[in-house]
Amino acid sequence: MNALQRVRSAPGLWLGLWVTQLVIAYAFSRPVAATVSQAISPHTYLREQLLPGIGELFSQNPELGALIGTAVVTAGILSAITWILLVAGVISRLSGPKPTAEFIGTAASKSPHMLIVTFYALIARALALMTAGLLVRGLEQPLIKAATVFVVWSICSVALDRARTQIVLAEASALHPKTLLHSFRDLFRTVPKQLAAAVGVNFLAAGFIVCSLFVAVWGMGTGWAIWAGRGLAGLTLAATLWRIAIAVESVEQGRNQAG
Amino acid sequence: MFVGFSGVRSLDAGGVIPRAHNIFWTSALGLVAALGLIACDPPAPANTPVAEPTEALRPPDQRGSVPAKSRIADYVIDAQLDAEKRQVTGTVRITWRNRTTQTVDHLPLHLYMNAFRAEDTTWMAEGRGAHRTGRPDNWQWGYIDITSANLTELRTGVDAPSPTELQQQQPKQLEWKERDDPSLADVKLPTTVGPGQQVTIELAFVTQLPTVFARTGYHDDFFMVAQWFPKVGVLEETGWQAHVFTFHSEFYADFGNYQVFLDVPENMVVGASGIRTAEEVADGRKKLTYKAEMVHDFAWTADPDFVEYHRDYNGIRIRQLIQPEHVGDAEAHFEAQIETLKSMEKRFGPYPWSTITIVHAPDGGEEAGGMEYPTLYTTSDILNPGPAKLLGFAEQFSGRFTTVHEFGHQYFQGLLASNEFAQPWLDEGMNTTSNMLVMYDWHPDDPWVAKLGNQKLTIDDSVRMALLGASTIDAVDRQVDTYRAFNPSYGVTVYRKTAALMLTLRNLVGHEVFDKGLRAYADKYRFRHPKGSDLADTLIATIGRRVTLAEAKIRHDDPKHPESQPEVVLDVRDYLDQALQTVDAVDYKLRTLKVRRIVGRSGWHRNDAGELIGGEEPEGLDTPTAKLDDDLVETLVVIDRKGEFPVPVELEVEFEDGSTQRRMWDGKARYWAFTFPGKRGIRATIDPDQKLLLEAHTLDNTRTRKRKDDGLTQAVVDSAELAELIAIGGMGL
Ligand SMILES: [Zn+2]
Repeated sequence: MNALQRVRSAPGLWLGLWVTQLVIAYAFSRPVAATVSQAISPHTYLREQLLPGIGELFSQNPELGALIGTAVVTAGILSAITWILLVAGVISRLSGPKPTAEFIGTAASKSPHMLIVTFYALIARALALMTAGLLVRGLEQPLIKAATVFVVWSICSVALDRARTQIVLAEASALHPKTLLHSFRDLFRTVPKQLAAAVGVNFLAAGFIVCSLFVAVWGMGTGWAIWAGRGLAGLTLAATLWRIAIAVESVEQGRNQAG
Repeated sequence: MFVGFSGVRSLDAGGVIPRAHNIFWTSALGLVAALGLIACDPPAPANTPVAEPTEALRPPDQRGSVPAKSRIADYVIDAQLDAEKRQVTGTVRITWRNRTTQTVDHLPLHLYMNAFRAEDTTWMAEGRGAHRTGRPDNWQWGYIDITSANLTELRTGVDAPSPTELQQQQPKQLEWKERDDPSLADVKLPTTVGPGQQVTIELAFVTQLPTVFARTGYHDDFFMVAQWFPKVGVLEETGWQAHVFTFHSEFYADFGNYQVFLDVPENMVVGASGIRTAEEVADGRKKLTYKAEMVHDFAWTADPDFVEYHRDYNGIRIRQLIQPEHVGDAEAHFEAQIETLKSMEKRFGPYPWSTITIVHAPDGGEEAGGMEYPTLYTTSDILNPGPAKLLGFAEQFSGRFTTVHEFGHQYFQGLLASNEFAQPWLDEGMNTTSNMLVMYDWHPDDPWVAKLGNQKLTIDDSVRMALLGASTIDAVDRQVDTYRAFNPSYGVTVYRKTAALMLTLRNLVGHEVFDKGLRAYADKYRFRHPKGSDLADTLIATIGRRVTLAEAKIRHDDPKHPESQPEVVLDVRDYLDQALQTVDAVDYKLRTLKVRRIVGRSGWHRNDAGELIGGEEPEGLDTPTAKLDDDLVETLVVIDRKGEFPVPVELEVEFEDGSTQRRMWDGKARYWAFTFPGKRGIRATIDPDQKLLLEAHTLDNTRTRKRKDDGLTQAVVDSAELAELIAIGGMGL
């Protein structure tokens, strides 16, 4: 089974995670809705151009900017926490069909491990990005700069996927930083093709994010934008699962060869 | 001078795209950009040199009226630039003509550069050493020191030519003294100068240029040499007008002719007011001679890095001195310049001079940017929006609008030389008004200034939004030191509120008649020093003092008839007084839109015989209006006046049958109720055509019935939710 097949054979997993994301985003946008609606009520804004209305709204309700910022950050944090709680189950499910109880069991029992390795990965990512930032500083082309930084970012994500997978499927130690360090090493030494594939898939995910930005800007004030954005969130999630499945596939192959 | 649009800044700050994950966004956008979606930098324009004009003024048939009697102060300046010391050493010979009925015994001199001489000058104390964007990195005080003063000639006859050669007669040494604030000094004359006399004095001076942080000074090899020589004040019938150089203050001077000899390092590319009449290179130095006629200042710039481009517009030589890294923007500035010339010549009469020079300060020297001088101005660079461009972000504020604004000053203070200290709104505010008219002319269908995707902000919206800021701290018609540096009111009030009040008036009385009034002002006060009252009087003379905006159409037998319309008269004088002299705001609110049962005829009434008849129960009191016949219902609309500035305002009501009706209200009472018998209103909007630029708060201008969404909440909430989804997905957990 290749990585993409692993994702395609787990539609329930994808659907469940997608709905979770949508619920989080929807829930945190409710306070914004209440505030804006209260600010405008009982009046109506009918001009085709929204920017003047939005400008007045934000200037007269300065708390609104903070509220939206908080909504975005909180939704992000909550989503990250949810992910850490679930990711072991996700990896386990991508390794093969599992009953829901086992999914939950793995997710729960491994979540402290996931938290630790994610923490290590955060440090590694910060260091890697700082280094990348220093390296590209002299580059003239902003596009090459940005692409380089994104490749480094993606490598960190892929290494974290591998470390998590090693912990879930191969009983690697989460506490020891070497699990993560070895993941980085193995990606380059042992499975460079998988690294390249996973980074490529991460570019695909980034492509969906860019599309979402376009939708957010060009669809502002239309009814379709939010649905297109929700759809793109599902595609971004699918690409992320695909990236993780590449790690699962790679670790399973390694174990089979070793076995 | 250009002061940023704070309204747009506040919009930026309240944007819906999260700041976190910047690197990620940059990377993702970089990915798309790498796919070739990014537009390339525009190419440098073709450079076809246009010869230096031979006369400083355009030919008589093109220049419009240039009254000889406006010539008051001539200057002959001989100056050397020491690029190492950043000093200009020179002499100035000032010939001043007394065209008033007053007799004077001294000449007040502006020594503007002394504002930057010490921490405790009036200017520095107010600004605390910082201007628009802050303090310079390397500190260098600026000052001007007069080293000698001599009287060289005093004669009768103001129209006698001023001397260009040093007089043979023995110069007489003069006494001079700085005032408490060193930006002013007085030169004592040995004898009085009466009406019809002219006097010539010669001063030697040394000007130390500061690091550029307020219009003038140097940055590396770039020199913006402005406010650099002693300038005589303006004698009015009420006495001398010479003001301490204060923080927001600009300048006030008489017209005259300038001949300027500059001696600069050979590698310098020089731009200056007027035309160059001679150039000579020898011993590593360049000696240049300039001539400017009928101007009230002279500024110049020098930078070895300037790249030079030319255009010709109807015999006007447009010269652009741009930094090499920005040559791609030169064409956009030319376009803005030419569109502005087209619009302003049409609206305000011929541009009289034969040349205009556009100057770009280098990075780090931006504080020299966005400033006007006779036939020369500094603009600002066009911002590169970076990846935001891919998302559909565009704006015309940076660069283009600065060019429109600074050229606009060639009229609104260059030609209509108002006192910028006493009435800064007459130049900055009226110039901003003219800038908006230029934008209307340039983009007649769509005068946008910022775009984001399909969304646009028009120039009117930007001004209206700016008024949301600090428009109620200070009134418009105040002398410039009223606006304190720690208040944000100067830019909002002097620039935008002036434009808003002028264009609101234009929208109310009609574009044609208003434009005619403005043209009459421009024609009458060309090469003069108009005051605010001159502008108001000229506008009223053209528009009329009282303008009837709606005839009374009240049917006395049925005052609630659909045709009913109270008379609405705008008193232009009262309007201008309240707009200019108070901080009162224009603000209306649509309080009520409802359909109700019409007043019935049940109850006791007397018949012709005087007997009480009837007494029947009222019908349909509790029936929902939707179930009543049309002729038993009416629409009630109530408008509240929230602001203290009453301005005539229109109301538009849309009905269930698809028809609409408009009414006008003079806005004077605290509220006004309109009824529409037999009609079921579904929408009522105040100021449907957005004529009232003075009304900043418009979110309460419309009410609807039978509509679920308020038109804005969903858009904002969807954007917020999308931002959350992008953040969640973008983390790539
Ligand atoms: Zn200005």
